[in-house]
Amino acid sequence: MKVFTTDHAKKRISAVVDEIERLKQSEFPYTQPRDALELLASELRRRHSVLNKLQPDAPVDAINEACSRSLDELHAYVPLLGFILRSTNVRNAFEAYSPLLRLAQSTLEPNSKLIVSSEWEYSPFVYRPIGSLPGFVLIGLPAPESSNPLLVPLAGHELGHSVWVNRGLSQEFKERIEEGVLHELSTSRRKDYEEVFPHIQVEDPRDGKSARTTLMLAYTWALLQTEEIFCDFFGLRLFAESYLYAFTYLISPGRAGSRSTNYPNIKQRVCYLGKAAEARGISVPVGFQSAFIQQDEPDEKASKLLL
Amino acid sequence: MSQALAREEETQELRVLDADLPFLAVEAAIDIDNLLSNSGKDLKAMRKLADRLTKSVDKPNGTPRSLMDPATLTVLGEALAQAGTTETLEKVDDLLLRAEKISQVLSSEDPTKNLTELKEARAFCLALSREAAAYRNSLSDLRPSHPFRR
Repeated sequence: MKVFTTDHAKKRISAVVDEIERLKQSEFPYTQPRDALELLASELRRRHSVLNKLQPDAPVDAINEACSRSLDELHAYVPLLGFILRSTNVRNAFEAYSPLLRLAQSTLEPNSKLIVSSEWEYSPFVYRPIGSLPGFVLIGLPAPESSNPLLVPLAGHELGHSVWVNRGLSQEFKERIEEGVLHELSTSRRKDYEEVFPHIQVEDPRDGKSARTTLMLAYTWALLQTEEIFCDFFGLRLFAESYLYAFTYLISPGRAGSRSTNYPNIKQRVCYLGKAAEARGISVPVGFQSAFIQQDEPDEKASKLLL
Repeated sequence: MSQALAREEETQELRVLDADLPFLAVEAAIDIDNLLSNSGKDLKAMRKLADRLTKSVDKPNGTPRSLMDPATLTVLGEALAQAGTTETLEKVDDLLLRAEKISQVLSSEDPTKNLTELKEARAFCLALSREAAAYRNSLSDLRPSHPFRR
């Protein structure tokens, strides 16, 4: 069976590479999507060559892990191919492309490459920098709003995520976030921590497997939220009032249900934005903060404690 | 390669969110298998992983200090625990010392000179690959899914 496992994994990669070759025949409005396809194909060929290093009598655990990783990669890469293909669609606001590219190149690096696509998701998004696509920024914007100029300031937030990674800001903030989380867990939340996790009895939450897992969750959520706040500030810095109008247009009053652990509560986000605007002398639209509803905090005890 | 990425490569410590980590670790394990079975002698992935491990531990006064973020430290701890070490690795200091030892095996001139250690390094590489991928997948699971999608 293990022979089939490797064989299937290699065939799956080859099928995607073949599909990339077909996609490259599409008509592209600018060259960068085609370059991205070429790089992705090259990366997948490399993955294929790693699988080729598996000997027929290789241990089953190595075969399974290698083939499982290759499957992970396909789950990550195939949606990118769809994104790149959709970037050629006439629904895209091509007139916004050049200003966004200039913005990317001035805030990231002069040779940064940008692919923008009209997507069928209502939230704008950016793919995190992908190792096999160095220097590329892939921004998705909601198709029904493609004629709305407010999408451009929102792309500023998405560009902020690339700046966050490009400048290594998670490295810059990691110690402060870790210290903050450790301090909070050992002081004001200490009693709650002991109640929720009575089996964890360590002075330092970095010691002991269970304690480390709790710290990892709290740290990861804090880091992701810090990145979102940074990106809001980045959008505000680039587009000033326009960012606040765009933010309100697309997000207010907020959605029902418990808030995402990756974002601060929307009420908190608009509060931070208000303060940042005030600090930079940017006028805040009347009723900006009251336009948003308070999102529910999680009920579950552990999440509530660590968030 | 962009300048930022080139800089990254020079100074990179182990980071669980690095997209190439799961595949790099499994490639190192495959290379160890090939070394053990005399089927190949490609040491590049092993060296690269060893380099990241080395850059993840600082020793200002002889005492190891982690330069990794807590998520990476947790994943590393899990991988070391799964690698079948006989010692308990509850304390961070023990964990860092074990990581340093594995890094030395992976970067050794002749990794096959101590087969027990090399097999332990192999088990670590596989576990690190699996745990890093699991962490990355768990992050994408946090994304809100479509309300009608199953």
